[in-house]
Amino acid sequence: MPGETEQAFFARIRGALAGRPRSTALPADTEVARVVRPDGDVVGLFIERAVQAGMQVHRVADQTAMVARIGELVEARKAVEILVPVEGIPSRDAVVAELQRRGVRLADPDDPDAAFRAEVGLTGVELAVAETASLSLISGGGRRRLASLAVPCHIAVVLVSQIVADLIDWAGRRPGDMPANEVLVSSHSKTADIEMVLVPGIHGPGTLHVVLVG
Amino acid sequence: MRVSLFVTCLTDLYFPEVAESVVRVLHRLGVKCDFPADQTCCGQPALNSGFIDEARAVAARMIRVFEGAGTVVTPSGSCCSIVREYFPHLTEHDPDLHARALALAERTFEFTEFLTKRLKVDLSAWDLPYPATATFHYSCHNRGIGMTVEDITSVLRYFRGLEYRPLVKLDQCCGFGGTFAVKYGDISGSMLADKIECIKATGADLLICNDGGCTLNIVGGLHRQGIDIRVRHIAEMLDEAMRNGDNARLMRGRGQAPVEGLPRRPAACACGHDRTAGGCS
Amino acid sequence: MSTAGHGAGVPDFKRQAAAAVADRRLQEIFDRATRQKDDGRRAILPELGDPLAVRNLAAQIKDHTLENLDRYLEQFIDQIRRRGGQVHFAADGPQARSVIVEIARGAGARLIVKSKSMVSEEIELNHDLEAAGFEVVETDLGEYILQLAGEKPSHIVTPVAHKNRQDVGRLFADKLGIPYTTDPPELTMVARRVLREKFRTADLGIIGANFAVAETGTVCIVTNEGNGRYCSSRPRVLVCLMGLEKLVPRMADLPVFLKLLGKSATGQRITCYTSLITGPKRPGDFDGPEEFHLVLMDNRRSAVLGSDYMQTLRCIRCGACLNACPVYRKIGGHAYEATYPGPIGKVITPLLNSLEVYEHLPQASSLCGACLDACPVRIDIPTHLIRLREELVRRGRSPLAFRLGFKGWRLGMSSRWLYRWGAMKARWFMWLVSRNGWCRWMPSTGGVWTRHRDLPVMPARPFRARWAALQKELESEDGGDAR
Repeated sequence: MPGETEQAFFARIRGALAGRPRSTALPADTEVARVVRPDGDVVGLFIERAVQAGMQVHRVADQTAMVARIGELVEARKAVEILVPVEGIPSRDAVVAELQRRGVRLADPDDPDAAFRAEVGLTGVELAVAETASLSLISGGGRRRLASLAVPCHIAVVLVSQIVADLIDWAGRRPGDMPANEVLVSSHSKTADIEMVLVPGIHGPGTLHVVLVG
Repeated sequence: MRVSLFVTCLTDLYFPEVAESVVRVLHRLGVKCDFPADQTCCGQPALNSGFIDEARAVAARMIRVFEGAGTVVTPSGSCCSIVREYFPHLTEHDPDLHARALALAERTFEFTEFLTKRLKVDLSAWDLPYPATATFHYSCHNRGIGMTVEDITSVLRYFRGLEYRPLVKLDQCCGFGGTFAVKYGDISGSMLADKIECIKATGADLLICNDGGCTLNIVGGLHRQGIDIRVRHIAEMLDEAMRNGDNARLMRGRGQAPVEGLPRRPAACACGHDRTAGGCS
Repeated sequence: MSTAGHGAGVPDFKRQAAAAVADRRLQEIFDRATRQKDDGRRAILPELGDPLAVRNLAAQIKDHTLENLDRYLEQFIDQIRRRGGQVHFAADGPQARSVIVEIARGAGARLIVKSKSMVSEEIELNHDLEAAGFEVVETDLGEYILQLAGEKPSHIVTPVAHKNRQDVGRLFADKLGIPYTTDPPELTMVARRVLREKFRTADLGIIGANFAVAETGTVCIVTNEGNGRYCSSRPRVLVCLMGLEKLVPRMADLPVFLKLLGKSATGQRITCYTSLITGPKRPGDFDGPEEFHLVLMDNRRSAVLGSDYMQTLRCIRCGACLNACPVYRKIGGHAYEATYPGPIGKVITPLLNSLEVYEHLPQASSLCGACLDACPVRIDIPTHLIRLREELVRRGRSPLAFRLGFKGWRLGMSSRWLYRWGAMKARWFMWLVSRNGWCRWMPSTGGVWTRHRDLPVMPARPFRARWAALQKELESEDGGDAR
């Protein structure tokens, strides 16, 4: 068996710590790191920072308008195929109907390679963070990790009620059980590895639309 | 008010005019200096090179020499930071000496720090003519004593006729680093060359530099390249300007003849106003 | 341009550094690259309100965790196992490599995709995997370029800082058979196409860890490209290789580090993707790895844990110290011939390897403190460098000239008369080799100085000889006033 036993591994660590005082306290809270307070214009800040991060933000009044806007964005993209996961999207049935009406093919969400063919991936979010314009997406059930990763264009639906102020609030709301995967998406994919020239869409989507409802 | 002057070996031996200016400026601001004559060095060269026994011995001696002193003022930020940051570390093995080291650390200040943060002197009362285009090199050890670029450059606005041009990469190390300059000469030389390029690019005729090590390094480089830029410690500038300016009532005496330093400027300031009528803003 | 990597024999720092400072192109590249990131950091940090307080908070969380590392590791491991993950223990690089090779064999893997991991660089993992017959593909664009070129990274965060577009164009034409182009977007899209197919068909993904949360058994990785997400989502088997110092206690602590990391590294508010991975896929999940293997590695970190250098384990590998360092800016990353270059590398490379082998690293610093100023967790690198220098002196690694020199110096500083006498002797000697008040040449150690700059001759009278006259001058300035 390669590697060593847990006992041997810990013996070295305990040996190193033996006799050292455990004197540094764990801070009771991290509020000194708070940047955004919940009582400000959290939605306005989210939009501002999302735009700064290169997201295209489309604010709509309600879910009916949301459906129409999604349709417009997909059509403007001239997308042939879109991946719409089974779970996590508000008014999903209406969205699906609209897309079908516009002649967009819906990829089979149970096809593992669907995200590699579709031009657009549509998701909801668990919540959004104003401080960093981060969108929290989780894995599980009817959700599809690659719907926001393998496609060139990602459309994320965010309800205004889902926006929290600060990363501290995001961490504070952790469910007791973390999903197998959660990602904070804070911009489209990019790299500047070649001569510091910024290039979007290296692995993840190069285009990120946020449809903000409410 | 009285302070004790910690001149530092580099300033004592290489830039005695800087120390003289420190004493004069403090004197005019109502602070009398004494000079514990037994002082030699803070131990920085040995400490930085890892010779802790030698550094300890010299540090212990300095603590003894300054035992009876009250506030200690030094023209060198690097030596000040040794006393404040490292004397406690160097004396950890001897509780009594350690306590005295902490006490000394608490009452030791670099000159500009002393002026701005302890004395909180109001320089606007003084007429401080200093016509020149100047740039400023931020010596590294200002970090260790909590002096920011703004802390130091805020003093510059009191000099009448001084045009300040910020240095690109102004807080990038000049490459001195004590024994670093003679152990890793290529790297040090490259850092110095970079600093001098940046200085030249400002077009300034004056470099303000408040540390003996940086100054020794930079003047050496400027001279090697045949570049004619004057280098001054802010204490020297204050000293000259106080004497050249209309400050008789503040200087409590007949005052001295204006100092020969920079080329004499006419009685008008840089924009053409009659200096004797109070200068211009 | 130095292309030497580490592990290629005994490091020759002085020669590497000399070659680097003579290389104009390297100078331009690293000056621009480091300043852009350093300026970005300085510009964005004030968004935190009181950046110093946040950095101190982060340092405190790390110190607390390190002091209690045994307990937090126990909690972390327990949580991973509860989620169905497996935990492996590696004392050192060779063990970590064989553990991972074994996992890959057991998984029947052919193609492995890797996301950026400094720890995997540290142990040169790819070499063993390839020798065992696996195809290993680096998926971070910079690392992919390096893999094609057979080179080592020159920066912790931006690994191909030393290459320009022509270099990459030639490389891709050569290795990938595409027509020569130097257009960065075009080159990037070529890499995207190639790597996309690798992601789609890979059997095993290897990731590192930026942070690990003890409370939940979560591993956190940050990227801008999205390759980390692919590696941790698509392949059937996921391996996370982690140094034991990456832990933070609670999810609530993670934001402090996420707020500091992107800003300190590149001046970004936050990286594009922050992935939180907690074990393999759950029952009912459509996607995600079926197997999750955490490989916990020591590799001398436990020795640092018990030492005066424990503070260096706070490091979050942001690269801010590299970007701030005037020495790194001049010599680039390869000159260090170590996995971790720059200021933090100068401390941990001797500690994780050998102080004797890397004796130049702790000494090749002017102790300017820019690194401490930049560090999001306030590691006092200058003090650690001094400690390492003390250790070198204790081990007799200091040149004789310096040992004798400092003995003489100590003697000279022990009395004001010896000091004066020594200064007079030095001045006399300078005068001897000077012309018009300047020394253009000095022998021996002094010659290193004069290679790059002149040395003015000491003034005839030091300050202390002028003190009495100065006193008189001040009295007359006062007008003999007793006030």
